[in-house]
Amino acid sequence: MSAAPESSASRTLSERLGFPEAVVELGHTHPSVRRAMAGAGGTLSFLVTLDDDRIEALEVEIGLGHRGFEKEVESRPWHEALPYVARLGYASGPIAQVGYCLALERLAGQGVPERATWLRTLVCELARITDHLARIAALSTAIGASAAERVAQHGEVVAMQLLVAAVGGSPLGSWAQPGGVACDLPADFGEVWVRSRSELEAALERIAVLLLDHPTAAERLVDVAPLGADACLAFGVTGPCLRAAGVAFDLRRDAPYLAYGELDFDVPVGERGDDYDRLAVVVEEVRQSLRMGEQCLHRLAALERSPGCLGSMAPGRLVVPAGEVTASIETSTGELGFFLASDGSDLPRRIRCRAPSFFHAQALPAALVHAHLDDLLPTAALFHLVSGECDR
Amino acid sequence: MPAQIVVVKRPRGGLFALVRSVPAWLRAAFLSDALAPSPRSAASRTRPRGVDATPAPESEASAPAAEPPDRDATLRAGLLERGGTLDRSREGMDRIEVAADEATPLLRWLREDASLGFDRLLDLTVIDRLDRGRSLEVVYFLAASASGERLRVHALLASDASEIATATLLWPAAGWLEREAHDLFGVRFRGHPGLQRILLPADFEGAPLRKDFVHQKPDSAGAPAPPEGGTV
Repeated sequence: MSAAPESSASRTLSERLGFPEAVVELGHTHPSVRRAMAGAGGTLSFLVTLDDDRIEALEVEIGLGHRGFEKEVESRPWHEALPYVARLGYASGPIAQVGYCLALERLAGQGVPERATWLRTLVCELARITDHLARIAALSTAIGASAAERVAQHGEVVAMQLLVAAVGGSPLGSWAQPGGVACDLPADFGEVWVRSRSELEAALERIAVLLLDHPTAAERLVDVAPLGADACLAFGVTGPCLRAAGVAFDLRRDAPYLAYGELDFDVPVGERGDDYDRLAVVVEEVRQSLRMGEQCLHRLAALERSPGCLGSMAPGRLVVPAGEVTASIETSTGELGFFLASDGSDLPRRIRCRAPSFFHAQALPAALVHAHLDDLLPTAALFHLVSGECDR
Repeated sequence: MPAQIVVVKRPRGGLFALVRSVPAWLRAAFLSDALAPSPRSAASRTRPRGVDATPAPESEASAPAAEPPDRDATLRAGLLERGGTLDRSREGMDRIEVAADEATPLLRWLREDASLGFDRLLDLTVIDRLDRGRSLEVVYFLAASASGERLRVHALLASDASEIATATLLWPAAGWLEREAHDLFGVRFRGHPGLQRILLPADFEGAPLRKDFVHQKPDSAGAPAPPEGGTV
């Protein structure tokens, strides 16, 4: 509450009417929070101080989904972390696993065959498409764009089926392994890809019509909750939210890992960092991921399926010398980092996960102060707060 | 093939306002093609590696952010002055060690020196080596957005006090990160504006990520047995 208002115009509505300020808890069981937060439904709470319907102050409460991830994985051998790592995200589980494997391989000095690297790249992009479409569906729910919601959800199902086909089952399984991957693509994956790709492209066209180019939908997004480049960098915001603010930083381009250095793709950026830019960047990234998937499949078709092309499958025998490494990858939310410290013993000294959602949850109030209460959930959906990684 | 940067299309005042006045059926019939995002036609330009803000085209000339050739020497000399030591861990990332009381001036210098410019705090965590006869280490992961460089600073806490000055004045991102480190490792950050637990309940006792905090696995002997026949 501002101190000593000069005139009645500078006072908040509650002050002028003589009401105490309204504090509303949008708790983790609130139906709208559960519906709009695809990745964090049921574990995230908002404490909102309101002036009329404007947000005066916002507190984001996390931790309801805390399950001691780092303690769990530090109490077991290195490779046993994989099932826990997969649960950092929803569809992006395989991306997190690939990130952990990259760090562990760097620490153990283990190489990965070329085919396995290309498979990992493909699966990361499929997971990104699934996550992005889930985010678009959550946003559509939050602004009441039910047609767009159905289109995005359909796209999410199509992408998830592709992902399931590629990893041979649940994305929460241990598909990525230190030194390689668990299984190759099924023989008919090419046909499924062609069919799914055209379906996804059609879904993107419809999303553009129903959200980006739709005046009513755009009105809910343009200039809503802007977070500029400086604030994003100060709070450690990464991923599409940072790019929407005009900062062209994408680890796939700026510190290429896996096969990204050989791929041809564009990095979409926005101008103002508002909800509209965030959505436009996410939609364009799905399109770019489809491009990358196509290139991965071309390359994979040229690479022989020889014995051993998937890499070592004896993670129990992994020798991890003393040392410290970091590995950072671009997930659908932002920069996911792993810091591993080993003292040469069987158990890890430290496994640290830099979760992008954690930083986004911290930055959310900066974007939303003075916004309408209605804009809270769409913005939270676009910031993509995934409780698995946020709460660890 | 270097990745291209494309600026996403935004609804512009004039055209957007015009489109809004056209009835929906007409819009769908004639204008959807004109409005479909076409990344090819958007201004695209390549950029040097590293974080770079895009908005102004005139900043293009100054964008490369040439790294001074003596940066490594600057770093070593500056560290010597400030009680820090530099080495490289296996992946080649610079790793600086410093005592906790000398950490703040060193971090401030890394943030504010023009030739270094580590303006981003990527992460902050703690390593517990107390059981090895060493101390707690607070680790700062820093990045410079102009050059794209990264390094780590390990601040070694005194063995009898798990306390260090806050970094929130240098990087706002440290706010929650320090709360988390406080929550899980019991490190106190002097001067932090609101050092409360963040992940664990307020009445939780102990610092669970310390090595002397024994992790009870659900299947271990000490864990309570599940109720017989009942749902868990």
